Amino acid sequence: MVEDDRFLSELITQKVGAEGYEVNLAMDGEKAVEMAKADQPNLILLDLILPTIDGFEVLKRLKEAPETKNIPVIILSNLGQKEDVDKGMQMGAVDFMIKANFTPGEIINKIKTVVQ
Amino acid sequence: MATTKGEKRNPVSPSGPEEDLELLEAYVQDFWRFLPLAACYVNPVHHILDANAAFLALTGHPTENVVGESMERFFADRPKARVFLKQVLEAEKAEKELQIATKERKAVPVRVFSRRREDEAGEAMGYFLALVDITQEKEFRAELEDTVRARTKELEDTRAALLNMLEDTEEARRTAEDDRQRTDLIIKNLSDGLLVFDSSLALELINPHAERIFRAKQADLLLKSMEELSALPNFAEFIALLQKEKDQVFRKELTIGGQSVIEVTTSPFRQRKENPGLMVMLHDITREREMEHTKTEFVSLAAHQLRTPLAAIKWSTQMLLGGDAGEMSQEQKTFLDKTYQSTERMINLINDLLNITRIEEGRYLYQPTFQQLSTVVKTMVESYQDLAHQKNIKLEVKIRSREIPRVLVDEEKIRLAVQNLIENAIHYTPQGGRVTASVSHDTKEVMFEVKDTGMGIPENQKARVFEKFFRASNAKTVDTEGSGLGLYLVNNIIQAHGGKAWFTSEEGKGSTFAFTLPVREEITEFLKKF
Repeated sequence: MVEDDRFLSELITQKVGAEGYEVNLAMDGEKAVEMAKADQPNLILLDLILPTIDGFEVLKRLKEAPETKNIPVIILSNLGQKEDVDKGMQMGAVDFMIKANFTPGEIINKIKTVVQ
Repeated sequence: MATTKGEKRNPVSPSGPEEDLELLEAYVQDFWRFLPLAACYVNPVHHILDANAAFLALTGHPTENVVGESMERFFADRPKARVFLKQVLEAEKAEKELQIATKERKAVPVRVFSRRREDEAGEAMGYFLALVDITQEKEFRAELEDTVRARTKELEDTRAALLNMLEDTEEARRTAEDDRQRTDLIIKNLSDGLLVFDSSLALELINPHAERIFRAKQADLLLKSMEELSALPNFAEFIALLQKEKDQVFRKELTIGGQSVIEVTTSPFRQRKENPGLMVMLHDITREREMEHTKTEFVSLAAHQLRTPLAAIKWSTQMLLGGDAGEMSQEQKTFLDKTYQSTERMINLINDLLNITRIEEGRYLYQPTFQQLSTVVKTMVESYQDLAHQKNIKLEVKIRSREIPRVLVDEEKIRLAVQNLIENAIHYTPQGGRVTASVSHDTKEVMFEVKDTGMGIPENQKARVFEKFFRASNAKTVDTEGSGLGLYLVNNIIQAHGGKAWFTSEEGKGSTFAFTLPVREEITEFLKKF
């Protein structure tokens, strides 16, 4: 999970952890790319507004690198205008979720569908 | 000396010295009496010794009042007469215009001639005065002078009048010139751009501000036709706008030269009875647009920033309610449920705000594409069936005509408009009601309509329905959550598409909200891209 807000990441970690998933947290963009390459996760939850490099740049690098390009990415962000959504989807995200518009339960459901 | 009786007396050939003298005297006397010229003889001390009949007639005095009298007394202008009479004795002859005083105390103008008489020693022994009445001559001269004076005056008047006219003309010319210069100055210093096309629609005037907007020089533009101008850089779109909107352009926005946003307003410009020319005002609103953009960006940024803490509240309350942190009492759950709903409301409000800023900014649509409105409506109705079912409301779609033309729209925004109207209809219709969405068209436009059997809008609030943050008083009591932004959004979106939104409503019976979208030739729009 790539998220710079500690409280939000804790909530999701708890919820996702309760479902039996292991969550590794990256709090900035550079770190996210690095960890994705090292940890090879089944799924990446990606925020867009991040320290160092932003989420779009992270997505770009993930999709460029052969070792990470097949890892599914769900964008979970505060942004959500049509341009952002279109951009994210075109760059290879599997879904685009606006944080405030979904409950943790709904997010888990989405994760489950993607991982399966 | 004796004369022979019976002899004829001949003054010319006197027969003897005495007789001759008598004859001569008689002759002189006759002559003196006959002479029509007033004359008198005066001694050296200016007493009249003799005066002829004409003199008596002129002065009106009898002989006895004349002979022996001082000559001076007979003049009306005595001081002058005195001077003259002195001269008379000194010179052999003299002449002067004086005035005779008659017995009736009238002053008669006369020309006076004098002739001195001398004795053998050359001493003055008196003088003759002859007086010519020049009354008539004077009158004639006066008359002549009057005529001349009158004529001169007339001429002078004419001259003065001519000069006045000249001056007036000059004044008028100067005023006209001043006016022209004033107008020129006003046009030059106008902070808006101004162009004037003459009756043949050639460019007649362009002020410096307009030159700056087009980044072109007046000299290269004047007298050019619209077609010629159209070929110049920065002019094509502008001329196209003028030619498209033949009659009048009012506050149309145009980007000229890639960066200036210009509001174009035109009005026909008619002088006398010619074909109307065209006056074009260009108002630069680049700064306003920039500020609007900054404002929008700020609101957008603030709204996005608000989403993070709201998501945190939403997620944590949701997890608490779901028992992720242990079981809660019913009372705790009730409180938390209210908290959750409030958060949801806040999130919706922020979503609306974001949409608004986008719509406000987005009077420019985002990549419009051709869409089938009936499809959009069907999809939207489908997604609201659950909610309608929950409220026991019958929600249906009626596509009223076949082969509805596709409309050029920003899909996301049109969807938002349709969604808002359907959502409102369901929201404000009580249990057991009916909501009908329909699509129809004619040659010019496609119409969407949603009719409900809801609470309606109070008559006195109808005018404000499309205003930002407006909520009808009856709506507020039923539903405290609405943001008052939905219909404002709808109206803005539809206007941005060149369409029209309106409604009819009767309080307690229901409302019908509708909008139209203009039908455009797909081929034309397609070709425009190239």
